[in-house]
Amino acid sequence: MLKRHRIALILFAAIFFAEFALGYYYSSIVGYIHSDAISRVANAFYVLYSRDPHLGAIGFVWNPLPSLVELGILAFYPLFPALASEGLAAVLQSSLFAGLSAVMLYHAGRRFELSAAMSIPFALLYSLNPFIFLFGANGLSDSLYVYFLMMTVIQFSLWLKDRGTHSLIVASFALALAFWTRYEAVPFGLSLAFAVLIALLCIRHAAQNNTRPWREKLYKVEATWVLLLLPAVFSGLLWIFFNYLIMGNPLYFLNSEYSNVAQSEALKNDAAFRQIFDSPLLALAFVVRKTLWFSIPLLAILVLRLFSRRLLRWDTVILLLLFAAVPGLQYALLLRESSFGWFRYFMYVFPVTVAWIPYELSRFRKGPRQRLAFTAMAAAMLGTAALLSYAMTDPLIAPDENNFLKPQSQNEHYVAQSRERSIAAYMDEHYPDATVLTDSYSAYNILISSRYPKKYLITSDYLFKQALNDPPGNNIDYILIPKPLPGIPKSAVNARYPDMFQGGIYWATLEHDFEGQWKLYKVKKWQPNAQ
Amino acid sequence: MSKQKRSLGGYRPQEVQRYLELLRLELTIIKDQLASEQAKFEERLAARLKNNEQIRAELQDALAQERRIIEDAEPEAPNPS
Amino acid sequence: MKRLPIALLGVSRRRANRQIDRERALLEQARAQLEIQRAEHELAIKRLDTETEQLRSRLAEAIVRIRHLEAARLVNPEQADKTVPASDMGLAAAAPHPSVPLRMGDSLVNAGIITAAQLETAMTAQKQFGGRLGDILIDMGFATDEQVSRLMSDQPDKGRLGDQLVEARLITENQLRQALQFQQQSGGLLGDILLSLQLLEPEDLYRAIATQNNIGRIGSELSINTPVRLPETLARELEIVVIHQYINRFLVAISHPLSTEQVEEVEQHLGMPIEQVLATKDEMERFWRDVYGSEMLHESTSKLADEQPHNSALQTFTRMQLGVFIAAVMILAAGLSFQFWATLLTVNLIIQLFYFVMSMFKFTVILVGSRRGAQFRYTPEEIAQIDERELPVYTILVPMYREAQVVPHLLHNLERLDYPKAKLDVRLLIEEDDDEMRTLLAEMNLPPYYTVLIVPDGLPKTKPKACNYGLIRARGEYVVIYDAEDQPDTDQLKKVFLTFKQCPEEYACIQGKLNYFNSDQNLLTRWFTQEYSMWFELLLPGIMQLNVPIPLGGTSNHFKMSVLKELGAWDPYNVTEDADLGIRLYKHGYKTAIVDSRTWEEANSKTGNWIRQRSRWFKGYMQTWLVHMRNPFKLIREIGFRGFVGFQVMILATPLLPLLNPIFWLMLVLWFGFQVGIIREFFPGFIYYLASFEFYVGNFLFIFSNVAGVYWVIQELERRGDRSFSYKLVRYALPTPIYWVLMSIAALKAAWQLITKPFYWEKTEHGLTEPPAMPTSDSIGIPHTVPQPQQRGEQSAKTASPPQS
Repeated sequence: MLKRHRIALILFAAIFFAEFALGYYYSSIVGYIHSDAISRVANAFYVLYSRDPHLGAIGFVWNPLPSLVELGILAFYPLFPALASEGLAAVLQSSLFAGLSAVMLYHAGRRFELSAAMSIPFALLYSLNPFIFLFGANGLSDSLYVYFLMMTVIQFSLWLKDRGTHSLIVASFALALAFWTRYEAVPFGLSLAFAVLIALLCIRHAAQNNTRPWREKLYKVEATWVLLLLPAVFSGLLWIFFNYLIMGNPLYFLNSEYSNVAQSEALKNDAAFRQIFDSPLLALAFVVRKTLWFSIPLLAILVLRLFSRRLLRWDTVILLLLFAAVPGLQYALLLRESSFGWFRYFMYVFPVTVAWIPYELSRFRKGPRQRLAFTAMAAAMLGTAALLSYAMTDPLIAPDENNFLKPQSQNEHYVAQSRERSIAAYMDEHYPDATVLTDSYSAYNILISSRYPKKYLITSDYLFKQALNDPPGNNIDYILIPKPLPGIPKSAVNARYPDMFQGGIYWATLEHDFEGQWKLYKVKKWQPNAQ
Repeated sequence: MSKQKRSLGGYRPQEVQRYLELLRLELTIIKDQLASEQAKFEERLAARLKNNEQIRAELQDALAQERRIIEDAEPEAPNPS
Repeated sequence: MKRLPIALLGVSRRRANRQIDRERALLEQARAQLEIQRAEHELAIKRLDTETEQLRSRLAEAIVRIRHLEAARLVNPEQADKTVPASDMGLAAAAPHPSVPLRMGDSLVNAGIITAAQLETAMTAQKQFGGRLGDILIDMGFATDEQVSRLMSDQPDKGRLGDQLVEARLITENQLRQALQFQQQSGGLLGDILLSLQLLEPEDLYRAIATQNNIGRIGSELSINTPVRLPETLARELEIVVIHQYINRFLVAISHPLSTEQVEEVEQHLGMPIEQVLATKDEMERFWRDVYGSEMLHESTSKLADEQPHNSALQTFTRMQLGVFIAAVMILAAGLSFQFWATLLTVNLIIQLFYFVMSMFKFTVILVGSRRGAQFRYTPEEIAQIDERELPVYTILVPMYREAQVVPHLLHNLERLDYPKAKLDVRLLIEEDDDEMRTLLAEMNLPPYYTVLIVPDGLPKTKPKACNYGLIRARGEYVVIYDAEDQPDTDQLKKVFLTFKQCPEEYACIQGKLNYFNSDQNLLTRWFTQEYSMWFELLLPGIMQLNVPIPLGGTSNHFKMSVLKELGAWDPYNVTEDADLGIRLYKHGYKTAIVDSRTWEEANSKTGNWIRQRSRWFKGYMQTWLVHMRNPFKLIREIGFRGFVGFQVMILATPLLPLLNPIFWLMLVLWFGFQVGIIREFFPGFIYYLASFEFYVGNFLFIFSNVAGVYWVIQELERRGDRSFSYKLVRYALPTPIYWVLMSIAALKAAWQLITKPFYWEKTEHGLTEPPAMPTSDSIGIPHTVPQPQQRGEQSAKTASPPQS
């Protein structure tokens, strides 16, 4: 027992430190961090260190759990400003959960009675996959999401095997937490619901009384749904309620100017995407192509099942259902013309399959058969590692991930980030005490890099709306706005004063122009006439 | 009593004195009663014991008489064994 | 208490009072002495009076005999002989079974040592009061010791009990063999087995045992003629009662023959020789009730309060507690008048923190409780492997009050228990004023291992009092309480036995899990079922794992008898004596385990009834809390910090949260419904987040744990092939907040009652499951309707777990 704990601890420490080291290298030494990662840190940052610190500042577009986790880490911001300014809080978050994922996989192996000699390599084969490893280091929310996703799959497969209520309870909470991390959990919950249906109606199990009448079986399905999905459904309702309560719009996260739907508006002008959007078949091909990169373990499982004559069992269907939830959502979104179809959106099928592997191996008799099956799975995981390593080197396949590999001067995100950091330094130097109105949606990099974050009046502050409508009347000294770019949603200031960046406005004068990308306006101190 | 410590809101000495005397009186009464009841009890006990002895003697007499009669009659009683 | 008038500059009050108290103590002492002396005198006089009476009647009898003898001799000497055959017949009728008295009396008469008339006198006395004929003859002066013992030594050897019974044609060879086989398998005394198989009547058995041991049996006259009694402790230790005073010896009823030293000890106490007569268990119970009834009543009502007043709820609030309470109210009032908002916020903060800690703790407990090892589980194979000979005697206490309609049901359920009947000691506890039950039970032919105990009237009239009363003379090594309507799983006693065997010594209590057989009756019973499922399946096992005090559930708690008695058993003044006992067990370093065996009870199906029951529980928890919180620091010392926190969560939070809830519900309605601005002021900053967290997460977790708990139970049952519950039940966990409203109503009622009538026992009606057969009114006087057994049978077949096959 003690030994098992020690192995787990070592595994965690090794993965965590390795991930953090890589993350630290990128964010602190190279100076590049993914904008989604930094924006989650910024959301947490506003809660604690903005003008009006309050939990509502965490934002209602993205699921709040990653920021909540980072919130805890950011408590140490006053001691280590790099936690925010260099996004190290996000790196800590992702490497923490990457480490936990490794431990969880190891434990899952042991729970399914695999030997340590299988469980440890199994966990490492997953965690050291370059693609997965990168996501443990890059500070994105995927590491967190994947952790809960795998927990759901592991517990659900445990339930399939033992029918223990405990597993269902844990799975239900894992699913809810997955939802608080990513909206992708919604279709996954749907898949789980169908999986329950199949498990209870089609699979015979010793713990289940099969002589029960049909009506009773349906009650059991209903009850299991309630148990498994209640936390997630409640989370969804709560999220809608919060959106209504604080944003005044229950579906704010879906249809606001910052939402995914709004962001993907830009895609409609992209010719390649236009084509995909117009043809369901093309879209399907697109989805399948992207999914296939991550599908070797699934194929391996299916082959194993074929050879052990278990391909036509019902749990194959369950696996396929769980697998299909991820590309299924992307497909649906493509049909609704609202997905970027990023490469990383398809990666979740890989952890889902990996989390299923212990269950799969436990189906084999212990001894040579199981070892053979394990070897096959290990080979499949190695193959995936090789394939994904290759994918990352190709900016056409995995542009996001490739950003980490290519020279940073060619990385437009890196360029923008360093520019914004220098803007923050400039602002700190020249206007430490002024009140600057800016939209936190676009200025997050500036905000977290500033030593005086409270001088900015940002979107989540109570006065923002009022000040936006009448900057001179609300003691605003300066307004900082980005260059409106096509395809990227307009910041609140640009939306309110569309011509300001280009042509200025009568109650403000241009104070400074930052390489044509950002402009700082000084607000004149008199009451503007009604527009 | 008069030597007793005084306090601002205390009892009147004579009241206390009287009450204590009352209690002591009651104690003597009870002690007397104890003694008198004991005496009365011993008397009753003796009477009863004497009475019982008397009856016991009578019973012994009666049993002896019975035995005598039986033994007198015995030779005449037919004895099947 | 006399109050002396107060004067300015008087004698120091403290001193005067001390002096007065001293005098008063002396007085009290003298008074007590007087009482004792009077009692002693009365006893001595009575004893002599009895003796006188005895002597007189003997004398009168002797005179009558003499007169007869003389008359016979005078009229016709021949006629005297005719009495012999006549009395011979009488002898045969009086003592038909064992051949000893017949032969001995006969041979004495034949030897001419006594007359037939003397024999008849002695026989009458024997028939009336019991005892051995020889001793009576000696006592009456008809024969001497040597004469009798010479004859006695002629008696043949008695042999073994079984053979003797067969010889006396009380049982057949076959029956004996059957009983012996049973004994081989399950152990126990042959006599108990014969009785439990209902092969013979207890009276016959005991006569045979008496003969075997060369002692007498009890006579037909069961009233006690003597005021002399043994001290209760001695009597209980030896299990004897003085029942009759002869001139020169006492007749004592015994359960087992006494050893020589024991006899000596008793004789020393009584100042006269004794003669032992064997009494059946039922007869013994009667004597005990007659002789020691008041002591037993006193013990069952006051033992705890006398021995451990700090653990008794006799006093609801101590002066200190009242003081603290009043001080708290005053501080609050002062705070409100000087710093209105600050005070309110502080209070709110404290409450919110309390809520938070409670919710978190409860949820942790549930998570811990959901681990598989949290309960003791046994497979049917393990149960089958038990060597029944190792099983100890098991006492089952069933307190009942005006529940005549469930008696047939109860018997049915107890009979189904898988336990050697010869090792059961079932004690049905009936209240004295419950005529209906008394008549019903008197008419029923209960199996011999049942004892009907009539608990003497007296306040408080509570279930724990009845249980204490039943416990005093209980014979078992283990003891369990069941309610009259309970349906314990048949394997429960054996599972508990295994658990006790498996657990370390400090485990003194095993709690069975309670659940409801009428869960599907209506929404209320469904909620109730869910609540119980959570409580017993998850919460209590979790608490057991965390090693904090467990508030026991009302029934199906199994104890080691010795420990239970050591602790002073139940607190009769506490209306949830079980919860209280759980705390006291923990205080004394004992532990409780949960065993995976269920007892099915009847859930309250009517709202009014339910609220009454719940308010009693809440009141009891409040009582328990007040009792053990008389000195919080001492409590921490006794049960440790973790135990202390657990105690607060289980005992304080359970009634307090429903009391506080309505306030916050009201605020919630005002805030969300009417946007009343003042509500915002209550929840600044941190408190707001805390309160929101509790509102969203806490409430959800409670609902979810209901869902999980009930799912858990159904799944476990299904695993065992039991389908008592339908999975349909799970969905009704979603609207549980309505149930919480009912709880708050009950909590308010409980708080009010705690102050107005703390010991009042809110009785809940049972037998409301079958609307057509049962009266539906809440009236106390239920008509004497015993439900048709068939109906009951159907009911249980449908709801109870199927018997193992």
